Amino acid sequence: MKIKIIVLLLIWLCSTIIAQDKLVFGVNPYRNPEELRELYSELITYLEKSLNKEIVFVISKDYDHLVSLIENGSVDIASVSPKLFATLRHNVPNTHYLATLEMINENGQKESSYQGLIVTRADSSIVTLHDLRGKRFGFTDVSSTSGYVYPRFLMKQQGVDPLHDLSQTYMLKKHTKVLQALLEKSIDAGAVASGAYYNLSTEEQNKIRILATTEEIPLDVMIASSKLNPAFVDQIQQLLMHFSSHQTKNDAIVGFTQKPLTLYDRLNTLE
Amino acid sequence: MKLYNKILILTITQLLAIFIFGIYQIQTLYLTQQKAFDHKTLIQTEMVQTRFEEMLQNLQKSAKILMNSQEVTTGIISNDTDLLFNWGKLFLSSPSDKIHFMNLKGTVISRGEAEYSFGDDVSKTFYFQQVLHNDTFLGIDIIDNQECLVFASRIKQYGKKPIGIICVAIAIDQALLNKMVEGTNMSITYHSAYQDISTTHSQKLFNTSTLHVSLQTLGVQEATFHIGLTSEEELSALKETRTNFLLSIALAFVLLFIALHIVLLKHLKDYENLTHLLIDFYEDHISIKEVITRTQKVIFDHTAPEVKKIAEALFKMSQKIADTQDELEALSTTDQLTSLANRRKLEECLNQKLKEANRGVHFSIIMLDIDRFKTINDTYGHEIGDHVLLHLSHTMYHAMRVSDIVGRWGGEEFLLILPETSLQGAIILAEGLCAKIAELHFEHYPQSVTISLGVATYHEDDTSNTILNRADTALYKAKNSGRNRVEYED
Repeated sequence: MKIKIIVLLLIWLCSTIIAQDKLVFGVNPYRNPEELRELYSELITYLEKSLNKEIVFVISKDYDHLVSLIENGSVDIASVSPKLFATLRHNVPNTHYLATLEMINENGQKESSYQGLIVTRADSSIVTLHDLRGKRFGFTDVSSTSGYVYPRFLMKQQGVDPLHDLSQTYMLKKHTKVLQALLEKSIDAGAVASGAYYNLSTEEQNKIRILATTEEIPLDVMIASSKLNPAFVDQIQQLLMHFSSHQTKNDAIVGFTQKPLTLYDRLNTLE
Repeated sequence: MKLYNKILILTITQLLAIFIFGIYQIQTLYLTQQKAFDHKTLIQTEMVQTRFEEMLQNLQKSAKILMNSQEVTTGIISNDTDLLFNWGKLFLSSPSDKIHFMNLKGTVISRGEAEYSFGDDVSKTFYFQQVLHNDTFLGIDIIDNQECLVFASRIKQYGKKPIGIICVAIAIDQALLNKMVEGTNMSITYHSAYQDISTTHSQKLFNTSTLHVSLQTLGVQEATFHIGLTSEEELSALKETRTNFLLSIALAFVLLFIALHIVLLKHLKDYENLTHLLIDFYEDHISIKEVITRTQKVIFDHTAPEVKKIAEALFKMSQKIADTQDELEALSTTDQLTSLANRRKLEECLNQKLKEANRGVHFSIIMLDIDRFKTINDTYGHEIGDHVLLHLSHTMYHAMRVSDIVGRWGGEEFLLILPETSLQGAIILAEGLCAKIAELHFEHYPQSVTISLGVATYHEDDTSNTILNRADTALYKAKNSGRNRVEYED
């Protein structure tokens, strides 16, 4: 009930903000709210200054929720997962692609793609994906590329059906939460983005064994609502392409790039 | 009854009445306070009971809200641990609360109080089994190694199809018990097979009652909550005050009694002494002289002014009585004409001498008579006769020794009692007296007067009659022998 009230309040707030010529920036809840705010704070400040508009930062309650917010125009621009963008492109073809994020990887290099990992505890008896049968597995969200789509695809490739072969699957939304649940033995294995794994301390990384690594996945995508003025969308896109950060911290957003959209469309074909 | 006793009883009765009224007031106050105390305890017990019931109701309310939430249903179906955690967390009101979501197999999908803890199997737990059979469970069971008040129920999709189980629980721990008795003077203890906890260090409670636990079933055997007072300090203080009051009253009573006794004794002693003095006088135990002496002593002693005044009055009165007594005594023992001892006095003295003689003190007597006194009266009249008697008496009195007793025996007869005088000595004394009278000259009587004397001395076993008879016989003999002479006993 309380969540319903919060969501309605959020929608009302968004509507009010639009009426007041403010810009709403939405993100998926794939990390803790504090982490997400910190991650996007530099970009938001940059956009606010460049556009001379106040930007309201909102975190959707789940992946699907963000889709509905974009569709009904409550969110103007958003950073979405590759899979979610692929779904959006399929369901709402006129969604504006703005740019793909560039982030600092674990080696301190700028890159616009990452990998998904299937992990277990180092002391676990699970050594291959076949050993996952009958085990408890933690995904993030069905719309998460590295937290669901690719791992599921990898398992299927190895002949493991997540729906039937795993004893129990849990949707944990946040990549960090998958890792924490794994360390606390609530699950036997899980799927996470490589960035989340490399953000762990060395001691924690040593407690985790990587069972499988996905192919390169393009990073999250900045999109704009179809309800925005195309000229304004172009302006935002130009600003994003000119955004450059000097941060060196792992997983920090340092810039944007353009990717062929077919890379994302491919995600819809993974089964 | 003595005045002391009267005053004491009267005063003590009044004091007793006051003290009994005081005790009654204290006891009434105590009973009123005790009633108020019991009432307060009852209200607080009911307050704790209400809190407990509200807590159970809140458990059920939270569970029912969550069960009817579409998001929770979605979360259960999709095993969305994060969604269920966020919803569960919203309904946690205390650190000791627990909200668990399970699937129908008993696997925990999410814990509202522990974000990363899930995936374990609780299908063997008592509450879970109860829910599978009875749809709901309200009772006490062990949840995550903690004894908890538990409400668990099946979650149904569209209100029909069971899809999972929700369990809302509150750990029965020290914090919970403290919260239940917060703001009251009550203490609560919890006893079960697993733990004994209490809001007080001491397990001993006063005015204890059992908390009515309206649970469907207990997973834990013989779990009981007891409510009571940690101490009866308040009531004890009241009791102590009452006891102190009663002791003070008793002490005051004893002290007042002693003080009263001392004051009464001190102030009534002088009155009592005076009273006893009068009583002793009235009962002839003391003479009026002694009364005078003792009242005089009271006057000079340090006494109260009132007592002094009474003593002075008594002293003056006694003096008057003594004077009157002396006068009467003198009148009764003195001859009115001659002022010598009268016959009564002489008899008294004679009897006294006889008693003394029995102890060896010898004495003699002289009986004398004026010769032919009738002729003087007849010739010169009674006035001259009285003059002769008076003058003669005066001469006799001065002629005798100090220790001798001279008295008028009757008419013109006189008796002389001579202590420690032998017959011979008495004869000599009589003859001297006879001669002296014979030579005596009277102022208003021109002639001389003679006297006849009979002397007798004491003999063993004498009585007044025997010795008087012998003296009288000797006197008779002197008369018959020519008068103006001395004769003595044979």
